[in-house]
Amino acid sequence: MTSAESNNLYAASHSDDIINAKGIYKNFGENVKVLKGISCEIKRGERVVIIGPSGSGKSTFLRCLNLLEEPTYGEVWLEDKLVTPVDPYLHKDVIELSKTYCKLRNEYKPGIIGESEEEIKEKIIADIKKRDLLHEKHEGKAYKALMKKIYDENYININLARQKVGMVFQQFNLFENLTVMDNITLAPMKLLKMSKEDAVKKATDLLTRIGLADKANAYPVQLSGGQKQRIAIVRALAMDPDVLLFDEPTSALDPEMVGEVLDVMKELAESGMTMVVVTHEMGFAREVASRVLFIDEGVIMEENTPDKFFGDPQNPRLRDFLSKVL
Amino acid sequence: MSQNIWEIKWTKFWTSFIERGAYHKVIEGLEHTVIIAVAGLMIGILLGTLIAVIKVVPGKNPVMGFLKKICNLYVNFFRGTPMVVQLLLGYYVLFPLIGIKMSSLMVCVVIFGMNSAAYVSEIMRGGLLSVNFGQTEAGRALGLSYPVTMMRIVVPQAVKNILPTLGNEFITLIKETSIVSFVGAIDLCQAFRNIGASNYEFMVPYLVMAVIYIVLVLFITYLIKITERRLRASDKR
Repeated sequence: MTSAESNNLYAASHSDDIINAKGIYKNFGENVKVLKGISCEIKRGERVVIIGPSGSGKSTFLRCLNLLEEPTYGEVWLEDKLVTPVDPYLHKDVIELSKTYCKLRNEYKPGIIGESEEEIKEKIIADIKKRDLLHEKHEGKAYKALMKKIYDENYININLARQKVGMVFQQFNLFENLTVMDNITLAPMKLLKMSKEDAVKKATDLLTRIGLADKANAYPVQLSGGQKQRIAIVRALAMDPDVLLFDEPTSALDPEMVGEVLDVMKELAESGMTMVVVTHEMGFAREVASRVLFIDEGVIMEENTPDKFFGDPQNPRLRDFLSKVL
Repeated sequence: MSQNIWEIKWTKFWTSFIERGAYHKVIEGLEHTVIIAVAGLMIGILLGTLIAVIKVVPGKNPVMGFLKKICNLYVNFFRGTPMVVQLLLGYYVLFPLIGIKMSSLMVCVVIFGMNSAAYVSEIMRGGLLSVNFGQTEAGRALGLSYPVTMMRIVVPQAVKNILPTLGNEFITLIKETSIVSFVGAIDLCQAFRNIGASNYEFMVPYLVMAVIYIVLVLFITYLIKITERRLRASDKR
């Protein structure tokens, strides 16, 4: 397969995905391995809920999707565009061009029974991946050229990509030096070059939708947690994102304020917004999700529709987890 | 008897201050003191913020690493040598070497600005680090670039936190201007020294000079307070 064909294939295979995470690993330092190979595709209109015990890597995974954390290995694709560096281990055609591969191929002694060329190839590639043998400096020109080609053809600046990926944080993170109105209009005016009148009109519409139009000129410190979080959602919506990421949006809220935030999220889900939600709210997952992921110890342990996920969990760890939280 | 001496001293001072027109020089000196301190602080804040922002950029970009090294060198030099030495180096070495002709007042403004930048950069760095990192993340997650996030979100919050310390820096600058006569500039201090030298009577001029400095600093303290109150608008509950 030539490289040109392979790149066309990538493009074709991503077309209806909004987010495509491939083989994401994340290490903090040498010893802390948080994510150990997570792959996940999120299609337009999907509402994916991620649950898991604390420390399982679910928030880290979510933050990898918009590159607030940079994955150690793996690639993140946002709407057909690559936002991480190219990971050679994910491209067979790249590995085959490497000097390491050539060396191993020459040294390779076939097993007792004759193996086909394809099988040998598979074995060597698996070996290279397992032992992390690729080092950019020593792999030769052809390898580098193809890496660069893939990168140049697919790469997009992360700031551009993030405009289409909204994020809502556990701690709200409203800009404390700006009024609610400025919080919402800052990014659309700066990035989408919206005029001030348009931005204000849009923000007012959105604020009216969540019943907080009277707070437009308030500063974040004057608001309750629930109000802050709803405004944080509106701030993300003002950029017209294609997907919204929620990082435990209700975990920092007083219990009586959880409902108002979940209501806004449900309304969003009904309007067809693509959402990825890390949460501990099982009721929300059951009601709203189109797919639920269970992440533990840095891998996806189970992935299913909410009915099957909660009704008939397969993985023993998931069963254990559900018995504790339900 | 002693009252008589003070009367004589006061008369001497008054004669040269008003009748021989030395007050023109004092006003000029006061102007210079304020110009050097204000312009110095402005340069200091702009340059210092730039240095601080460079220093807090996360990650291991090689270009940034190089810039960080230069910034460290700069800060170490300006914090590691006395201001007088910097003034002398600027006036007699640096500017002649690069062939720029400047009045001694301008040299003072530039050197005071550069010196102040070294201190402000560390103050500002502390301020930037005091702002919750979530603010940066929220800005970046919306798609704002790092510089825009810094200038619109983080720096304004940092400035609010460090305003009392910046006020301190301003007051220090005002008082440090008393050394500019080393390169021939006339400031408040030099103006009064000239009055004293004109009739060998130093006591009254120096006392009056001290009072003027105190009044000046109290006035600045008041200005800082007002600014602080305005910047704290977003904290009112």
